[in-house]
Amino acid sequence: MMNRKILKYTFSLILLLMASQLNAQFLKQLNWQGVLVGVDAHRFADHVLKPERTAYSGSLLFNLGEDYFVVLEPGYSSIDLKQESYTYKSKGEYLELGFDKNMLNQNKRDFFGVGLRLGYSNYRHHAENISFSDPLWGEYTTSIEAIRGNALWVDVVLGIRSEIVDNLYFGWSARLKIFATGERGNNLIPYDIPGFGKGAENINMAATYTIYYRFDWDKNKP
Amino acid sequence: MHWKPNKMRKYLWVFGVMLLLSLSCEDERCSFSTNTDLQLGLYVGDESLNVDSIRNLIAVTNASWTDTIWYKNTDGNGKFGIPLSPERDSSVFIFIRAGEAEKLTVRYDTELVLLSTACGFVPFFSNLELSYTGNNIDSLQWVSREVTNDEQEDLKIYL
Repeated sequence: MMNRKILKYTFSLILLLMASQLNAQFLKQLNWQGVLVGVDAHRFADHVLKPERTAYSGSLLFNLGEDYFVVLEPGYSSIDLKQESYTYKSKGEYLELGFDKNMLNQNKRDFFGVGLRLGYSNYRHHAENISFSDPLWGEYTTSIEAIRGNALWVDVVLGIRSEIVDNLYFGWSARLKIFATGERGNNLIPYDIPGFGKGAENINMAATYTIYYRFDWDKNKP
Repeated sequence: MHWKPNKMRKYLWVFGVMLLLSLSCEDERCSFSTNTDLQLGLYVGDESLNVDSIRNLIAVTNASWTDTIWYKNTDGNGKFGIPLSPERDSSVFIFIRAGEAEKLTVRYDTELVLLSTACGFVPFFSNLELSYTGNNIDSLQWVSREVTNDEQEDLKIYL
């Protein structure tokens, strides 16, 4: 019994070592430079400018070669609106996956360039006590039960990022988000699709402000 | 750790602040149209007739309304709007011209749209279909079978 356990752990250890070795070779082949971890600073301003919204998002940028970054951007957003004529709540998650291309010819630790992402969001929303008042039809109040929706979009990015202090970066990006497909549900159009923006629109403009920390890949490591 | 000033950093801050200002100013007050009436355009097939005198006799009413909409040729384009009920999936209108009544039944799907926090919800209508008795109306032509807040002509009515 003990021998089988030792054999199992030894085998696992060998597999792990092989995987790490393969990873190191694979990363070398990709000309892996490092990784940037970012948090969206714009969301902190939302607490003042748009108190009905709670949103968090992050970024993972894998620097491949001198100019390319593979980008992963997850996020969460919720809206809680209580007005005299309606109550509206929504929440959902999203993920954007894509790449950035640095167009700077020098100071390549900074970034000025373009990118492309594919975004996907899953969200839930509902509305209560929606009241309409029409001089001819009179008063009408309705509620809509929770609806689930999803959306897939393309995000075209123009961005700039600069090293403020060693390995700490600040950057912003302007985004053009183009709706591709998704299930928005009947009866209630989403006010805000997490990561995409206004649910009634097929094209949205957006901006992100991000603080990054860069972890450099030590190329001398085996 | 040391501060790294250069020209790019200056541009970074200037463009960033401009972008923040331009994208954060919204929803303070309702800046969208909340009018989602079905926009009708009135046309007279026989060009020898006095178009305005025919249009000016038109009124639209509904059994549950307390009032009647009278066509007012304020800008001479022959357009006027009638509200669809957001509560039902059809609205019946009595279209009166020169004492003759025409019954129009409009069927549709309703979607509620939260235009902005200040504007609140408005109903958008889609998949519109219309039937009529043919006493006054010669023919109909849909421009759009979706009624939103764009206030564009949705239906051409030929008298």
